[in-house]
Amino acid sequence: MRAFDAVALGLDNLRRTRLRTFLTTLGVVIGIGALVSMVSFGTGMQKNVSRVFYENDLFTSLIVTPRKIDPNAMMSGDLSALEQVVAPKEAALDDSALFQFRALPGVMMAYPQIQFPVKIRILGHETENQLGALPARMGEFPPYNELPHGSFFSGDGDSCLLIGQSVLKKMKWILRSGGFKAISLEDSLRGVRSIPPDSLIGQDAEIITSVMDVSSILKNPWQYMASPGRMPTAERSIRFRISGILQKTDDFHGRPFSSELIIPLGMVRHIPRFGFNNVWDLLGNKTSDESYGSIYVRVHGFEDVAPVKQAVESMGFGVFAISDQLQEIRKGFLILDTALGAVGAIALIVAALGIINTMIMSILERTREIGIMKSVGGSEAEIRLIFLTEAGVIGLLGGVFGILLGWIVTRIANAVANFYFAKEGIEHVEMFYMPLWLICGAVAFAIAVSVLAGLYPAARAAAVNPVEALRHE
Amino acid sequence: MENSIIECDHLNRFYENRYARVTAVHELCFSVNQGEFVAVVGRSGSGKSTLLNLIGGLDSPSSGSIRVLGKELGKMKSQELARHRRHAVGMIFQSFNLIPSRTALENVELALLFGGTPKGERRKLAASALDSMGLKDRMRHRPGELSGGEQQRVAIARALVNKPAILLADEPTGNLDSVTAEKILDLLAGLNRQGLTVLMVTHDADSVKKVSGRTLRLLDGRLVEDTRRSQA
Ligand SMILES: Nc1ncnc2c1ncn2[C@@H]1O[C@H](COP(=O)(O)OP(=O)(O)OP(=O)(O)O)[C@@H](O)[C@H]1O
Ligand SMILES: [Mg+2]
Repeated sequence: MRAFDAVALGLDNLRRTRLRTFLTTLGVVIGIGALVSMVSFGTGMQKNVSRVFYENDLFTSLIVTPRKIDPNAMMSGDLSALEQVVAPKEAALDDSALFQFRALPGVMMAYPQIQFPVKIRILGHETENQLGALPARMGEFPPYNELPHGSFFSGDGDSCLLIGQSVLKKMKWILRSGGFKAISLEDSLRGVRSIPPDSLIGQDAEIITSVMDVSSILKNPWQYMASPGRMPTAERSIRFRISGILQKTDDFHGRPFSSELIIPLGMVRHIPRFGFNNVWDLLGNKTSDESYGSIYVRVHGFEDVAPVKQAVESMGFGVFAISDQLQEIRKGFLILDTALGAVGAIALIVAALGIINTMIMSILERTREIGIMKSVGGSEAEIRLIFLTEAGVIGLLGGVFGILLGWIVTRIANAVANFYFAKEGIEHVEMFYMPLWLICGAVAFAIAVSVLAGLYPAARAAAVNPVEALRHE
Repeated sequence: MENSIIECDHLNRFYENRYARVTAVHELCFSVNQGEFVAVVGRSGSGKSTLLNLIGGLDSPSSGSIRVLGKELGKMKSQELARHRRHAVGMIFQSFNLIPSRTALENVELALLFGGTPKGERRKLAASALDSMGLKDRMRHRPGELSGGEQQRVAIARALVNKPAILLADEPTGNLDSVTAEKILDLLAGLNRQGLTVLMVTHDADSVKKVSGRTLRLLDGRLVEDTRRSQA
């Protein structure tokens, strides 16, 4: 018998018992629907997390620290790892190291990560925040290449400032172009005001830092050397122009490597601040300007991460690459996907039992028909094929409509979830992702499970004794 | 020219269970020549159907040998037996054994389906087989819409569509009134005249006398009579 004929015959047989076929197939539809929506939730979460990584270029970012620290060893209580931290440094993370990094093949840029607390004052409002610095070249990359308002600074020496919306919020400002009516009652009771973004761009902002009041030290040096912790301070202020406003950050779109207040890298040395840990440093004339806490290295592509990491480590520095963590994250998602898939698989097992049950019923009903087929020359293999085809068709239909069901369910779930997210002010998130492999895999799986469920009934059909089946009633 | 197409040698078929052993066919030795019309008669339970099922390859002998067209059936694997049922023999039954949900044409096509005949040719062969049974207008009807005689003619068309050498008929007129039975009998006689070997089981030995050239009588599974008429 030809395969095509077997399929045609199978379809015909299923059509004869429409309601039963429908109910049996519905079992598979629900099973596959559950499986697909569960797994697409898992892949959706994975995709969202990976997207954050890509959007923030975490895959091409390396953080170089003065010494190699093995966090795992430290976690497991290996004191030698701690000793490494405490031990005197061999290689200094200074400008000469910085230039060495820049010269490495595959490195796009390297700049020191600088962050220190400052006060900021805009239009008479004040708040405190960490101030970070970035080179002007970072303006080419996300998220800085697409600022919602204003623009990134073009030169490392510009006295420009980028400000994040969380800093504005601390100053009780909400970005709205619509004026007062755009603010909820709750917010206005808390004293939150709206400010049109256009009026902020180009506005002056004062960065205020504390410096040591050297003149008062000189007046009475011995007092301060005895208790170096308490030192007289004086405030210094320097004027910047707000050139752009950063994207809003939320749980999915964090900016782990930079702050919400950014100035050009070249401007850092114009900001007066404590450049030392205590007064002894000052007297020893040793400022920490010479060596950095950490250096950010950006490589051209993902494939450059490993060689650059190795080169930097061989210079005696510690390197932290997010891409290393990615393996762990992937493993975590694999477990999540498996767990979610298992829930769907249980539904599918129930469906498989339904198939077995239905097919055995139908074979009992069709015993005579099987006898007839044998008497006109049907072989055991052919009869087996007919019933396996029927099971396979149920699987195919169940798979296709199951995916449809899964898709509908995930659309609804996504819409409902985003409705609540929107209420909480979280931006729209696609929670589910149905890649092609999931669609094809689910159909193949549905067919495989159904055919597997059909094996026993088909074997029973093939074993029907034609003499008994045809004995007249 | 004696050309034996069926040869049985000490053929036995018994059914056993824990309590008893029933001998359905006992030590049968006979042969049938090509082109014969053999009537198999005997009381109910004498083993007529069992014998036909053995020749038809639906059942296997417990011991002894049965050769059809020179091939030993007892040694065949299930795949070969299926081929035998498809090409060497055609079977019809008292209860017609048509699939009720399928049309006459589809029922006949079923026999070609297993041979792997392509769809177009299947249609054509099935239609012409039904045509030759005088059922040209009834092809699209289901068995329930046909009379007993018509149903049996559909069954004959199905049995012969693969052009077998032997037709095995198990009481084909048992469910039919005498006039219709007569017609079916004439039909089988006509086919026999064209060269088809026919083995027909019947209760009523007299009614087949005028068409059959030979009578095999079974009693409790044994062959008790084998008479040939000189002039058929
Ligand atoms: N599966 C079986 N198990 C036990 N005994 C069986 C089985 N099949 C047939 N028999 C017995 O074998 C004997 C022959 O049966 P068979 O059907 O061949 O008789 P028959 O001559 O065709 O009778 P009828 O004219 O009533 O159709 C009977 O005694 C029957 O009871
Ligand atoms: Mg019988």
